[in-house]
Amino acid sequence: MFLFQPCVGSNKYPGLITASIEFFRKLGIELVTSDDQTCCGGFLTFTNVAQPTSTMPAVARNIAVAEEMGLDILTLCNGCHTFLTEFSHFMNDRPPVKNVVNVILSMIGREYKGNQDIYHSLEIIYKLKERIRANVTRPLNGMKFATHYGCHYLNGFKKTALDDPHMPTIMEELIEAMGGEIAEYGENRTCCGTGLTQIIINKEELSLPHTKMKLDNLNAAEPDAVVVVCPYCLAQIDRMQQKLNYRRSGKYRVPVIHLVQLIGLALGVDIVKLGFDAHAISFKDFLKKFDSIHAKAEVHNG
Amino acid sequence: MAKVGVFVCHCGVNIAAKVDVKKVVDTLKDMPEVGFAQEYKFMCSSPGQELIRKAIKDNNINRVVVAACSPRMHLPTFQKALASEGLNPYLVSMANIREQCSWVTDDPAEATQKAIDLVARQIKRVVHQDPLDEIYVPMTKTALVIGGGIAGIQAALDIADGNRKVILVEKSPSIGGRMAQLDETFPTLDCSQCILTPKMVEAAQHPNIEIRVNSEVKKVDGYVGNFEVTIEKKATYVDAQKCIGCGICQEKCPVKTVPDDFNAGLNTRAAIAIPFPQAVPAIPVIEADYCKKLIENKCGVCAKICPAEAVVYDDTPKQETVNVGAIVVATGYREMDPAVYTEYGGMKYPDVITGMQFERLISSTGPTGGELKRPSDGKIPKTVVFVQCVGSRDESKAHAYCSGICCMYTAKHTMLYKHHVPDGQAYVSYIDVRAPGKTYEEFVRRAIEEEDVRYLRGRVAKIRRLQNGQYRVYTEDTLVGRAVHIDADMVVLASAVEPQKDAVGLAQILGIACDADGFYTEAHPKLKPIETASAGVFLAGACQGPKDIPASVQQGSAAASKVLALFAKDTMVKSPQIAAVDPTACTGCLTCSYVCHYSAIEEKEFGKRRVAEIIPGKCQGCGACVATCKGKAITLAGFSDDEIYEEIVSCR
Amino acid sequence: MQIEKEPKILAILCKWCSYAGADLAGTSRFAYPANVRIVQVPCSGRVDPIMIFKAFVEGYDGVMVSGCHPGDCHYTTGNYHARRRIAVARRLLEFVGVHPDRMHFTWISAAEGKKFAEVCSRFTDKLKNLSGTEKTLARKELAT
Repeated sequence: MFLFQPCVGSNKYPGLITASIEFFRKLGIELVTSDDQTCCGGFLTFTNVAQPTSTMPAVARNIAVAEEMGLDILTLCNGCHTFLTEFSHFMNDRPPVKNVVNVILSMIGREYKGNQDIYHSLEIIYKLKERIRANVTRPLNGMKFATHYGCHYLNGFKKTALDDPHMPTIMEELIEAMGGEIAEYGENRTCCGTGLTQIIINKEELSLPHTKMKLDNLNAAEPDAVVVVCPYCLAQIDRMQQKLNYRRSGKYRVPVIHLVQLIGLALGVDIVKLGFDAHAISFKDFLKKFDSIHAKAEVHNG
Repeated sequence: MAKVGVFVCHCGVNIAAKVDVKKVVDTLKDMPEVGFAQEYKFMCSSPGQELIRKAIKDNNINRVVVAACSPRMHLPTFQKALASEGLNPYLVSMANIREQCSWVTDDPAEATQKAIDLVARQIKRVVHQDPLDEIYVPMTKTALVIGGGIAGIQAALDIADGNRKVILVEKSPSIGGRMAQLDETFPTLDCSQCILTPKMVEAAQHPNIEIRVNSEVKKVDGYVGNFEVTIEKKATYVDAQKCIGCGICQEKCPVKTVPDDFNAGLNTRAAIAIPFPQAVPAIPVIEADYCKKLIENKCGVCAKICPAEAVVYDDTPKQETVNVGAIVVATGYREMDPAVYTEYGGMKYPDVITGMQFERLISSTGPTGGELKRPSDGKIPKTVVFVQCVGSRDESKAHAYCSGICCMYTAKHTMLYKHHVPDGQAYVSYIDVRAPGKTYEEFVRRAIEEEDVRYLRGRVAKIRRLQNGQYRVYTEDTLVGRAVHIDADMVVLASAVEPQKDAVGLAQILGIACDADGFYTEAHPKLKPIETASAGVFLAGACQGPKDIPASVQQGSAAASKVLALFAKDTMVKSPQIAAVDPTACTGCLTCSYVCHYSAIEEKEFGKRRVAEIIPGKCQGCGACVATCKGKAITLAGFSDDEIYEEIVSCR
Repeated sequence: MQIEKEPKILAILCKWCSYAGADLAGTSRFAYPANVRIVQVPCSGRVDPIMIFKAFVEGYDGVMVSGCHPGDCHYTTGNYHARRRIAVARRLLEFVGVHPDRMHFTWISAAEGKKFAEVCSRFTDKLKNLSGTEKTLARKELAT
């Protein structure tokens, strides 16, 4: 499958990409990346900086890159997924639009056909649940995880939605399959706050209190980490904790981990490849606890 | 020798405008079969019918053809005219030269030619028509009422007071239905049990009513006036004759995990239990799936301590067939389970409950003894949000229809809430407020003005559980155009009224129809809301559509009046246009019996052979057997081969 | 054998649904060709394939049988028997050499007045367009 690299992932959390490639390989799937890829364009459109007429050809171009390889697309980001899917459906349903886009693409020698499928990594991973369960080498025993699906996953356009938008369970099932426990908290379906940040327009005043509210609620459940499936959510929840700490608004130290990193951890991918050093909130305590579980296990087994 | 009198009607200008009536008469009067031919403006009028009578008397005609409107309009009219003059009513035939000729043909010449054709064919046909005598079948003057809720009880009482016997069948262990689960009723705030139990007792003590609880209708054969109904009583493991209703078995039973349906699933109860204290009859039933004795042959406490030795562990379901003349269906409704609304928590939040559950919580016979406590922690809710239209008026997730009772019972709930928690605050999220009945609107105004209930027009988008145990209800007030969120201690969802789970199965047994939503279909939505398309089967109550208690009572009485009218006659008149087998021609293959839907064909001995015999009382005259018989041994009176072929053959 | 005049159509209609539908066409004044002759039967299940053959022998150009919609038969199962018998009748007609389009089987309910008129009109047109090169069962023609 073609791994569509998320921009926030490539720039801020490269661990997402390496973790994915590694653990999918362990499960028998080879992920291919391409340097020809660009940003999906979603952020620019969502923040009204660019018009769909400019970003749609960019989306088409990115999909064409995968089409030329004859591969289906796998995304690691709620934004990429929603954006690519929505625009590709839009183009597929409206031949006149598709034709115009292809006229533009032809100027750079590409063509958008619209015949490849676009999957969110969570959906593919869920389908591989049993394979993951069988391949777990370092189970997450006794560690508590809070889940955050993200608005664009729950409410985004999904023709083949696997899960209920109000009470989703697939991430919980995956975590439990790997031996972890779930920490329930009330604001679990609240937005992470990225949408309100609009970094370019800089409306932090709306976003920060919102994220703080979510974090306070989250911390009351005392999880060992928060699991997300989107690099934007990851960046927001991770870095805003740091910001809140600087502003003396509280002491926030819940590490934020993307599902692919978590799976990589459980399946025995090299820690360095998971890229925890890029995270704002330190993973030191998390990894200490994690290793101690396994040390105890080794003592029992040994 | 057949002598046909032909009467061609003008029907004012309806026929005469397109059909040259005079030409029709002139052309046909010379046919050899015709002894008399005449035209007239309105044959169905009194003078018109008098013409027929006069012709029979003076011109010796012994067959009649009336060329006029559709036989579906006036055939009975002309049959009566013949009968009044002593001529068998089945010797008349109608030629449909209005609906199927003058009204659908533009060209007058074509219309006239077609009319001539149609009348000629009827003349040839009527010659083959034989006199037929009406069949009288005895009427069984016992009624069956299915369902022991308020509609069924009312129907049973009214029929019984009319001096007829009633068998009242109820699936659960007690009669009372939904009304028994209510605390107080709108708009009077009468205690529901207080007004219901007298009726329940009256039904139990009425000499003409036989109540059969724990019973279901399994099969219905026969037809109006003569139904054969198979009723199955499930195994209850308690001898109703011996039980004295002391309740000690329920106290001592070690199993306490049976979901309590009467309390809408809010609590559990013992494996042997009376459904509720005022049950009629108050006889417990053992829930076989939970009873230790029945599953693993342990325990047996209830049998040991029962002072009347009424517990019987080797009980089995028993079937019995009864004869009734009419059936009233009053099986009621159930409350929808709003789990599909995951935005409201999917019924996983303990303090987000349904209307019926709220009713049980405030009921003194409920799981909390009438104290309004949150199911999660037992605290008294100080802020309650009542959400209307959960599952109703919502095509996308549930039902498009309006459930009719929720606006009223929500207003009632807010008032009862304030009576229980005077310092509480109630909110109602609504789309519209539907209060059409007598003093209903005033009732809702009371809630708003006297109990300070805040009505917010807007739908609830989401309910989220907060860390502190409250629930954040996200809604809006469209009248001021603002989004609103309320932190509530409890949320009550007015869940939709749905047909019972097995409504469709029962419909098939009874031979009645369900509409697209699963409610039973009436014969005519405006003018026949009680009858069904199956003669002798009547509807009453919420099984026909969502309705409140007064409407259910009205329908119960209406159904009773239909039954009593039916029973006013001693015999049922049956159409004689039924099939009969000629045993001399019958080979006894009995293929006809396989196609008969009414099981009206049986085997009979005829000399040394076996032949088929049709039971006149059961045959409905469809003719399926006639077409099936390879040897043409079966004739259908009124639609015999001779008659039909004569119509086909006379083609000009 | 060309059909020069208006084709003669026999419509065998069940009393409870289709005949009522034809009446409704009249009440609603939906016109249809005048060459249609209607025979009423209590149920489409009464229709014997021999009736259809008889009709062709007697010179009808087309035969139409109509009953209640499946599931709505007044006698519950009659129309199912009709459906099966007509299917067999159709095969037999073909075998004998009558064009299968000359027989039309349909469901018309008491509420479908317009449909009845339309079916009659379309059937008439279809019959007019038939080439007429197939064999005919018509007694009159056979005799010559």
